[in-house]
Amino acid sequence: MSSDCQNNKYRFSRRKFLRLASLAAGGVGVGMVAEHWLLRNRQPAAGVTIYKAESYGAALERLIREGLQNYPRVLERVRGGRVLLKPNLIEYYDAWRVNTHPSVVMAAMDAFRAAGAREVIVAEGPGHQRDTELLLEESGLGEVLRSEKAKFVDLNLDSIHPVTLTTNYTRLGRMFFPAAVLGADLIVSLPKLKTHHWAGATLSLKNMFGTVPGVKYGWPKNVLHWHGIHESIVDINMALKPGFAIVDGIEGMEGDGPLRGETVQSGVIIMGDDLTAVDATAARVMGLYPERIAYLTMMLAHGGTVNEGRIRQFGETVLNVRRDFRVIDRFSFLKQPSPWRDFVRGL
Amino acid sequence: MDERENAARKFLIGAQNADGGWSYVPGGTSSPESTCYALMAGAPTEGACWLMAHVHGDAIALDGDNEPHWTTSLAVIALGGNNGLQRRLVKWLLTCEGRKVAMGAEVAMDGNLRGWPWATGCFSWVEPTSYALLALKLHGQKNHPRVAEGERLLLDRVCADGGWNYGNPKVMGAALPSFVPTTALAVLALQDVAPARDVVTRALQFMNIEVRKRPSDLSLALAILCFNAFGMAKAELVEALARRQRTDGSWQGQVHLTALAVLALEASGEARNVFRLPK
Repeated sequence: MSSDCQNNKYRFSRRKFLRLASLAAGGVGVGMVAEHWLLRNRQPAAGVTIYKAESYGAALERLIREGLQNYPRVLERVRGGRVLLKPNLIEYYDAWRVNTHPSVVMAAMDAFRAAGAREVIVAEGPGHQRDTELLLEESGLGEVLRSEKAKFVDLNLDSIHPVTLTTNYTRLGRMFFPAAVLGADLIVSLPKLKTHHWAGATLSLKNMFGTVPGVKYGWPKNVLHWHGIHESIVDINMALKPGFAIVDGIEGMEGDGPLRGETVQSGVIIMGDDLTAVDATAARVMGLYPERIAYLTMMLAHGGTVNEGRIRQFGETVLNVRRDFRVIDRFSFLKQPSPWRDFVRGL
Repeated sequence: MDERENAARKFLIGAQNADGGWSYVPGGTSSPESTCYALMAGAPTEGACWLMAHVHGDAIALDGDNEPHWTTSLAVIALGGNNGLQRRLVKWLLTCEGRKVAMGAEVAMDGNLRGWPWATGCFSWVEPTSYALLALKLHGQKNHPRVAEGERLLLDRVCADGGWNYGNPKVMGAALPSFVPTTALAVLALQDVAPARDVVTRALQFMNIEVRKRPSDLSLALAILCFNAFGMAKAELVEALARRQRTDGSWQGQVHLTALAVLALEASGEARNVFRLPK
């Protein structure tokens, strides 16, 4: 008798459990679809410019100057302002392959000067190397800085100030940033088009890691990895709000980037004032699905745009310049569309 | 060389901030690393007061921050002596340790070894570990088990080319190259470890080639200090470093580099080498 009662009770509990579980699963599913749908429709309109540039000898300054005309609000900020260019300067070996090419930095410098900037400075805080002099010389950027009489700030050694993190995905509460970055009227991210063995792809948002000062966080800036790469990318970008990006995709890197991958002759320059949209477009140029890159989807909640339908394309179309960048196995999912993609698209 | 050293010291004196400390570039906020190096290079001793005012708990902290900073080991070296403050800093160094990490096959290192991190709660890296080892050895802790473990960590992180980079010899199966500055610091930290002699010899050979191939102010100064600790005079490196001095007496207008250069020139003149360990 007692055993029967227990069995009945058990059967009832299991049924109840299954009912509750299916309700919960359904709720989660509807929630996810609703979130995707809302994010898709909430994304602000953005504009990204793509130009073909077959080599570093091309008329890059003219291309950047032309591209800037698509962003009148950026031009307003440039006039009379202090522009900080943040290239990706990471290693001295294979310097031409891993770093933003000096020709792109020089072209950007000239274009922003021509647009009326009061001052254009180049600044970087390399993540592995304390020997910034070595990096500048081996990368060829030192020579460019001298010929252009441009100021370079080593962000690893600049005076630093704490900034409260508005997003705080890292749970660090606040982060220290260099005075040069905090004092700029416009921060321009100048990354190279590369795959990345921890983040999937390293583009203009990830490039902002170099603004985090080594004097506080070390070489490497290991704190960022412990608190989450994607979380750190969003926190840094939301704290500093870089206003423009120019991606050096003339020669990109596939495979085991950002250091040991292989060069891809991708022949493009990609630019825009919404860094999420720029990176989403750059990812598409690499043959990756940007919706699958965690930091890009995180940026949707903070005004970023990933949806192709919301990005106005200037210059070339993605299809015209698209390459198929190889990724390491752990990121093979970046080559597959999200399982929700087609479903949400149809809504 | 005295003239050069004097010009450099004049630069350092002129670069001192009103609060007694030094920033990396004159005019910036005082930082512990620049202040420690300026002090080691014989700049005015008010810097010591700045450092002492930046002790939070038992470790050095940055302005506006209360987290223990990696320069605590440098402060131990720079402040010298054996007073109550020194003992507190040394005690903190012995409790500070890098995070242990289970390593995947793609990273060739022992993640269980504890050295010293750049920031609390992080993994151990070559430079903070080397500085901590030097500070502890210079302050009578040569036989402490943490020192032995730190030495093992450095030996575990040697790159395939014989030197050290920031502390990651291999990633995704690919060997990463060494850097001269980190190699010099690791070798200085291991200068008294007899079983490491072969590793050290190979690292010195790596440095000797690399610093000539790609000289920089930082690599030249640290390489000179390192070769000097092993009794290996390298006059041409000293000449190369001296030639790079600016007319204002500095190296690249930076306090930390200028102080390092002074220490290297001083060591080459056989006066003293702040990083030479007692026999």
